[in-house]
Amino acid sequence: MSASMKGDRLREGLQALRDGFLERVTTRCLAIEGILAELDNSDEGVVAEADREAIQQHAHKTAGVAATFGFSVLGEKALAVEQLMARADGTLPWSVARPDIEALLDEMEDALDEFS
Amino acid sequence: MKILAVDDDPDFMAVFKTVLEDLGHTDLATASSGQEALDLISQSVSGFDCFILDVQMPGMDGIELCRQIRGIEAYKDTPIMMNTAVADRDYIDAAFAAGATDYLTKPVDEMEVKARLGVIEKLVTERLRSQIALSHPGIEAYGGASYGFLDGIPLKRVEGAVDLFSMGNYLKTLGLFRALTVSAIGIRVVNARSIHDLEGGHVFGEVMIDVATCISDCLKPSHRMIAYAGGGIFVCLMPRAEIGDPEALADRLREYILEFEEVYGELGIQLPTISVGVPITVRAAQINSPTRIVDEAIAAVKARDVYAATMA
Repeated sequence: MSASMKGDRLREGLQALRDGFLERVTTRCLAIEGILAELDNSDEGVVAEADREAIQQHAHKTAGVAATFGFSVLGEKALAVEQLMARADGTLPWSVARPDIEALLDEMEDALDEFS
Repeated sequence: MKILAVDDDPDFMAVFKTVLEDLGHTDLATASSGQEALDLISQSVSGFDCFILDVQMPGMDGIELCRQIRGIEAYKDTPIMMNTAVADRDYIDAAFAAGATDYLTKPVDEMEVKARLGVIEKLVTERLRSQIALSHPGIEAYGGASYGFLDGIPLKRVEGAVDLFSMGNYLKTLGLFRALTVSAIGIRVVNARSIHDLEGGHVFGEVMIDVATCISDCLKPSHRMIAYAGGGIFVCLMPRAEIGDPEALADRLREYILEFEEVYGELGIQLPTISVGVPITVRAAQINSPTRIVDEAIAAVKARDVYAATMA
């Protein structure tokens, strides 16, 4: 089998997996938006531990494969949020966390729009 | 090569499986958690040749899983690759300390997987060859492993011990700033050749393990990484700030070794005498090849003894 045929086979294989990834991006996007909405309705000034862990997990899983499916910017934004959440120690102000999280949500939405 | 890959993310696992299959690694089992992996390991009849573990997993993480796999006699030397995103870099030290052989970074890069698994495949082949050699006649009757003078000796019973290959991989994971904070130091058993020739390869192996245990006890638990380089020479990695005076380390080590004096005397085995080389640090100009400090530490401790012999 030639190298280009092999490359085509790999690309086809990954393309077949991309829909499943985008479905999960949709779910993660909604979950993170839910956390932000709850925050807007509360008086909490810092990222609660459970929220921090949930966002970190969503970002971690997105960062792990986004670039492989061709969403390299999404992968970078997810990694930035994951690192921010990993460094947080219970005193991370939402005002600091929010811009990076929103940038990630925007990128998720762009990826979903592109393939909807 | 039979691979067990463990990751809780179905997307990553599907991608990884596709890439591995494309590279010809079709004998692949997968698990989505540490516990599922341990169950598969205990149920497997033919066993696995290589493990690829995600570092960050809910419940049992990849580091704990690595430690548990290493605790299984049949897998004490089996290559374990850790799969990690850049954000997991803080876990890398812990992964190597738990017995990891190498690491892969997320997202999946087919070329990187190909290169790293190629090296692992060679290791697996060498292991199989040595197992076949051991199962043939001519091996010492008591069944203990017998080592040539320059052979590697597994130090699995020793806290903080890794093999030289893993130590090199660890150094490659360090970024510029962390690499500049690490020192390598060589420790040589000066009478190693004599112990080997007089006592044979099995006793030699046990003596080297005793020396490694003493080295391990001498160093701070959180910061030690010890590898055996063959020929009675060990290399230790530690933070540059903690390395102190090599002679003070040598004196401390000699004290620990002296504790074996009575037992060794009863057995008629000569007590190992040791020398410690100068610490070697990564220089900014060598940042692309941090593993050189291991070779330089070995050369430094050898050169020290040559110098001492010349002056004597």
